[in-house]
Formats: sequence, C-alpha cells, structure tokens
Amino acid sequence: MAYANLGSANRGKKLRRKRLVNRAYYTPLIILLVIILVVIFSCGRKKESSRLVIGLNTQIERLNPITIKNPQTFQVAWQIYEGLLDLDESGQIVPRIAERWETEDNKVWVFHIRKGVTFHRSEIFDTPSKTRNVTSHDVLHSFTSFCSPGAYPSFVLADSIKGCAEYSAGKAKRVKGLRVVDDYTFEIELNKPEPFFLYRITSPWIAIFPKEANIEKYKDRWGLDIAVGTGPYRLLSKTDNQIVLVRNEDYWDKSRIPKIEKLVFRVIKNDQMRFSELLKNKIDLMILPNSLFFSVFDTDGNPKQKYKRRFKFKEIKTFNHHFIGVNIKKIRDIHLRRAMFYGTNRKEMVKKVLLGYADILSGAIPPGMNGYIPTFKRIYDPDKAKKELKQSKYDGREIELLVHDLASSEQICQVFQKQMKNIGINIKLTKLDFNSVIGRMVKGDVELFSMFAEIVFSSPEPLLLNLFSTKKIPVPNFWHYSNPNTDKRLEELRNLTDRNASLKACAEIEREIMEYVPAIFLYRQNQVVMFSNAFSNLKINSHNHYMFEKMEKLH
Amino acid sequence: MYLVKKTAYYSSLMLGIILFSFILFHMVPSDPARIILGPNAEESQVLSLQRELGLDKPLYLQFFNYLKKITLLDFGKSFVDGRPVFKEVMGKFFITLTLVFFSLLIILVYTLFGIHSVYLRKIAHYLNFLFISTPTFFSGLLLAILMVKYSPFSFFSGSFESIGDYVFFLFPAFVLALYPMGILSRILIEEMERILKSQFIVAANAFGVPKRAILYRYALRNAVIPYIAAFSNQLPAFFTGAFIVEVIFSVPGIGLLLIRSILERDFPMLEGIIIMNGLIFILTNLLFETVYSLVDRRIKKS
Repeated sequence: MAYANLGSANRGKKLRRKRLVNRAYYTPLIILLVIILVVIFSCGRKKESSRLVIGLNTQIERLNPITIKNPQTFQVAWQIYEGLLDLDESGQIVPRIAERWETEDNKVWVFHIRKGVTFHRSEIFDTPSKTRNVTSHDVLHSFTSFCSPGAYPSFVLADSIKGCAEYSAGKAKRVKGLRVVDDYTFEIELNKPEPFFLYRITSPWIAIFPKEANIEKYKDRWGLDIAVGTGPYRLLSKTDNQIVLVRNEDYWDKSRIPKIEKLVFRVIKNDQMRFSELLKNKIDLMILPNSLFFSVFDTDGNPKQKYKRRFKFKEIKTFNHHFIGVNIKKIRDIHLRRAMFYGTNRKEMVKKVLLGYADILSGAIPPGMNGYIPTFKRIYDPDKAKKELKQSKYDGREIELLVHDLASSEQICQVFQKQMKNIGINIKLTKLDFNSVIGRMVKGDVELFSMFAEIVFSSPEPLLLNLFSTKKIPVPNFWHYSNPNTDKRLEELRNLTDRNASLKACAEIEREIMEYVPAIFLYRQNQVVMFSNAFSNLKINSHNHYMFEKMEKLH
Repeated sequence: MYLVKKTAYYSSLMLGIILFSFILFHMVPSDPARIILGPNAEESQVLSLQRELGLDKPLYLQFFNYLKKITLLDFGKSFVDGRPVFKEVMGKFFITLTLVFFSLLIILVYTLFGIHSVYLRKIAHYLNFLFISTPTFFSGLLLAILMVKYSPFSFFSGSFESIGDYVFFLFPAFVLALYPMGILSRILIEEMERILKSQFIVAANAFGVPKRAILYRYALRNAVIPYIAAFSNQLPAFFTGAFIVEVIFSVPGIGLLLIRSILERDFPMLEGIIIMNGLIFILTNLLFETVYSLVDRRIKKS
C-alpha cells in the first residue's frame, strides 16, 4: 500500500513537471503563432494610396498587339500602347502619335509623326537611357506586322492598304503601300480612294510598337514580361492572374500624365466572387456581367439604394452589336426571313434579359456611330410578320439556330424562339462553344446563328463594305448576301468626300440591305461599369478604350 | 533484366500517349488557323497561316516531325500566341503540383490524426462519410464563397510572391483533399482496427510495450501498405480534381490551361499538357513501386 502511495506521489510530481515543460514550450509557440497571424492579416489588408484595382473575368492574353483579340485584354493593352489616332469620348478623331496628316486624292495619306514621343524604358533598347524616340520606321514595322499572316486584326487593313492582302496571304515580301518618307513622315497608299480611311485606324488596336520587338532574344518574352509602347502607363509585372501597370512619367502629353500611380488588373473568373471583392473594397472597378444585373438593379433597371451609396455606375455605349445571322443560301425564302425580322420583339428581349441596358438595332450600324441616324422607324410588327409568313412557303419545319456560351446568347435566343413560336415559326436551339459556332458560320452549313461583334471601325462606310460586299462571301459576309446594286453603291462611297452625304448614302444602303434580311440585328449592349465612389472622372470612348489616365482618386 | 523490362514497358506506354494525343487532336473537325485569325480573316490569309504552322503537310509527316522535336524537349510554340509550350506547361504544372502538394499534406495530417485514439477514430468515421459523399464542385463553391466573404486572402496573384499566395492555396487544397481524405482515412482506420485486434498486438500489450509504440511502430507500419496502394490509385484523381478546383478558385494551373487550349484548339499546347501529364503518372507509378519494396521487404522487384 505504501509502495502504491509512493508510486502515485511520484506520478503526480512527474505530471506536474510535464505540465510545466508543456507550458514552457507552448506559451512562446502560441505567441509566435499570434504574431504570424497578425502579420499575415495585416499584409492582406495593406492598400496603397494611389492605385486602382480592376477586376476582370477572363485571363489576359499575351500583350502582343498583333495577336490580341479579347476585349478584356484591350483594357490593359490600351494603357500601354497607342495608335496614330484615337477617338475622344464624344467620338471625334484626336491625334496621338501622328501629329497631323494630309491627303490630296484620298488614296495616298501622309502622316507626320510627332517628335519627342518616346517608348517606355526597356532592356530591348541599347541606348544609354534605355529608350528612344518613335520614328516612322516603327510605324512601318507596326503596320507591316498588322498585315502579316498571323495577325488577328489584319482584316482592318487588308482590303484597304495596297499590297496588304498579298503580304498576309504570303504572296509578297513587303507591303507595297507602306513607305517611310523620312524619320518623321510616313506614307500609306491605298488600293482605292477612301475618304473614310482614318476611321479604320482610330482604334488603339492598330498600335505602334518598336521594331526591337522582333529581335530574336526578346521574341519569346514579347507580350509576356516585355510590352513596350508609348502609352500613359507602362508594364511593371504580369502573371496569369494579375497585371500591374505603373504611371509613365515620361509620357509625351504632359496634360494627360496619369493621376493614379498604379493600375492593378486582377483576374477573378467567377462573377459572384469578383462582385464580393468589389463589395469588400478589394477591387475598385468592374464591368457588371449580365448575371449580376438582377442583384444590382431593381426591376426598372435602377441601381439598388444599398449600392448607390457606395458605388458609381457608368453606362458605356460602345460599337458592339448582337445579331441573329441568317444564311440566305439555306433560307432562300425572303418572306420567311422578313417574317422573322418583323416578328422579333427586341424591346422585350432587352427588357427581359438585359434590364433595358441596350439600344435596339434595326441594321448593322450602331446608332451614333460618327453621327449616323438609322432610317427604320417600326421594326416590330407582328401583323406584318404573320402576313409575310402567309406569303412564304414555310412548311412548319424546325429551323436550327446555333447559340453559344457568351454574351447571354442562349437567354436571348430562348426569347427569340418563343417570339417565333407566337407567329408560327419553329426554332430549334443548338448550343456549341463560341469557336465551334464561328467554324460552322464560316463553313456556311448553318441556317441561323447567334453572334456578337466588337466593331473596330468608327464610321459606317468600312463596316458596310466589310460585311455586305459580294467579294466578302463567305467571310465576313456570313449571310452570303450578294446584290450588284449594293456593291455598286458601296463602291460609290469611295468618291463621297462630304461627310453628311456619305452618312446619308450609308443609311440608304443599309435600308436596301435590310429589305433582304441577311441578319436580324438585335441590339447594341451598353456596358455598365460599377466603381468605388472614391474615384471620379472615368472616361471611356466607343472603342471601349478606358482612359484611366484621366481618372482621379478623391481625398 | 528488371530495368530493361520496365524501361521498355514505360517507353511504349509513353509513345502510345504521344500517338494518341496527336491523332486525337488532329482528327477534330476544326481549323486552328481560322480560330487564331477569327471570323473576319480572308481565306487566303488562313491558308497562308496553315502553311506557316505546317498544318498543310500530311498527318504522318507532321507526326514524325513532332516526334523528332519532342525528343529534344522542343514541344513547339502555341498556335494562338506563340508562347513556348514547354515553358508554359512546366510553369503551370508547378502551380498544380503545389496545389496537389498542399492537399497531400492536409491528407497526411488528417489521416494520422484519425488513428490517434478510439474517440478520434469515431469522429473521423462520420467525417469520412461526409467527405466522400460531397462532390468537389459543391464543396468547392461553398468554400470559395466562404473564402471570399471571410478570408483576407481570397486572391492568388498567379505566382508565389507573398505569404498571402500560400495561405490562399490552403482553401483549394482542402477542397481537393476532401474526397481522397475520406477514402484514405477510412482504409487506414479499418486496417488499423483489424491489426490492433491481432495476436502480436495482444502479445505486445502483455509485454508492457508503450501504447504509442504499439500504435505507430507496430500497427501503423503494417497498415500503411494498403494505404500506399490506395494512395497511388488516388493520384490520377488528384490531377483531374485539381482541374475542377482550379476553375472554381481561378488558379492558373494546368487545368485552366487545358480548358483554354481546348476552346482555342491550341494543338501544341494540348499535346504538351497530355504528354507531361502522362510522364508524371509514369514517374509516380515508378516511385510507388519503389516505395512498396522499401516499406515492406517481402515485396521484391520480381
């Protein structure tokens, strides 16, 4: 018994010692853990004073002007790169790298390059200051690159500039129509006169970048960790999920030196997560996706009070349009096409799916494009639609309509399907990924297709020439629209130097085209940008160019 | 002889993967040149780009050229924007492997924690049931919402620049770990319970061997063999699971790259991803074969 007591006393001592040892070990460990957590959490909340964080929904492509195609990448790239010209917020042409320009016959255009414009400092330059002035040789290099076989935007110039189409088809070694006159004078010769040529190159897409981008050792890095332009911001770092741009202190236009020091673009794909980050002030600005319209706006399309207090909303009218393309070769019956045209209630679509954030379209040209006024007055007319359907040879068969996963295509087409059912046309929706829809559009083996387009031209003339000329069949004249009279009238636009006369002619041509219904143009969606009310002066032009350099942070 | 046999087996497997991926993607009825240039490009430009990418040559010639190049680790360049495939795929694999590594750590801690005592084994039993029956896309979304709402680290910058980037990874890694965690923990607990009832453990208890030594030195060592076998079987699921998790949490790993490359019909990138994936599976198989024989000397290389 005594032994047992002794044993239990010893055990008690041991236990106490063990507890003391444990406490001695654990106390500093717990303190250390608390310190680490405090440091971590304070790191997470650190915020710089002069920076704007922008939330994006897709990954940023390589920042190489000739391969960019994603509008979200443009938001980033157009802070770094500039073109010869640009548009201001009201849609007027403003000079950028080209100081002035002249033409005598609308066929040969001479651009005078602004002196004193320098590229961003970069290792690609061998000069002591790691930068150099922009010259017409860089303009030649950039325009030639835009005509190369792998260039996505080559369609903007291929028809217009002499020798561009041959170069992009690999049949010529240089672009004949591009000439360097001297270091600061550059000449562009066109195939035919184009009084509207400037409106082809107002988009910053046709950017000027240094010829050093072609040096072998920088080729693989160009657009990834090296992106050199002349814009108000320069690239600081780029990963897949985050791009940081910093103010270009050497920017040539001192009145446009950015007020905000850093732009941070963050990719958060999930709409709800991106929105939560905005509400938590972790990002300052995002474009509202359609999926969030119903949580942010009330049924009348006005921002809910709780968001109005903390955020600003800006509606942008860009040059994009959404349409249901009709393959005339497959749906030959003009009365059936007209029935679909007049039976489409665009207002209902826009109200139901986009809460009214879109402008209804009757034709391919967005209203307001360079002062353009559409001529159609009444486009939804169910009685007329039924009358046209009676005249047609439609036998009640199902007509296939291809839809994709972007830009609310499926929802819009479901409304369209219902509206067609009401007038007696059966539509079958087939959902494919966006690229597959394009593939089938190009092949021409589809009857109807839902599509949207970001228009790079800023005037109706090049747009109509591009979409409806017979020689543009099958791309981008996907509808196989061919009319000798339209072709003749489109060519006549080249001789109209008076802007008003040209715009009037465009309206008449568009009216003629729409009589044959090559497509049912639906609406131009107005983007809604939601941003923290700590910022002001957000300017965006119709090319969807965010001029962040004008933005200010309120104190 | 063993080495020769193994090398021949795995080389033929690798060749099969390369051939399969090449044929599969080149049979898809779509034109990468058209996708690169978009719907506005002229047909002549598309044909010119096809020539530049070598897509106009017969399929067998394209395959042999490709085979020749990849033996020199040259996987070519992305059709879409000319990024070098090998560098891009390796960069993304690093991110995915980090994700997988984090989830392996979580699994390891959880499974060992689950066998510590009878009480913990009971808790783990119920938790395992929950983990196995919750699909990744559901638990992923749930945790992603909680993360965005309550965690200061709800964003991954794309490279490991700060502590925040590492802390962020705990959330997707936990989601990725859930299902295998349930399975593996269940296997280990059942095996442990079986072994703890066996004669040699009763004998060890009778000899007064400390409980911890019995648990970890005798029982666990024997229970770990089926655990490793199950672990190696679960490894492919880690990668496929990682793809879903990457999409939910916007982690720019191999899964997101794969989805983007499929949508853009970026053949060189797709082939690069599949070959590297195949290579990783072969290497892990080899690793586990070696680990078996190290853990249990009764398993010989025969």
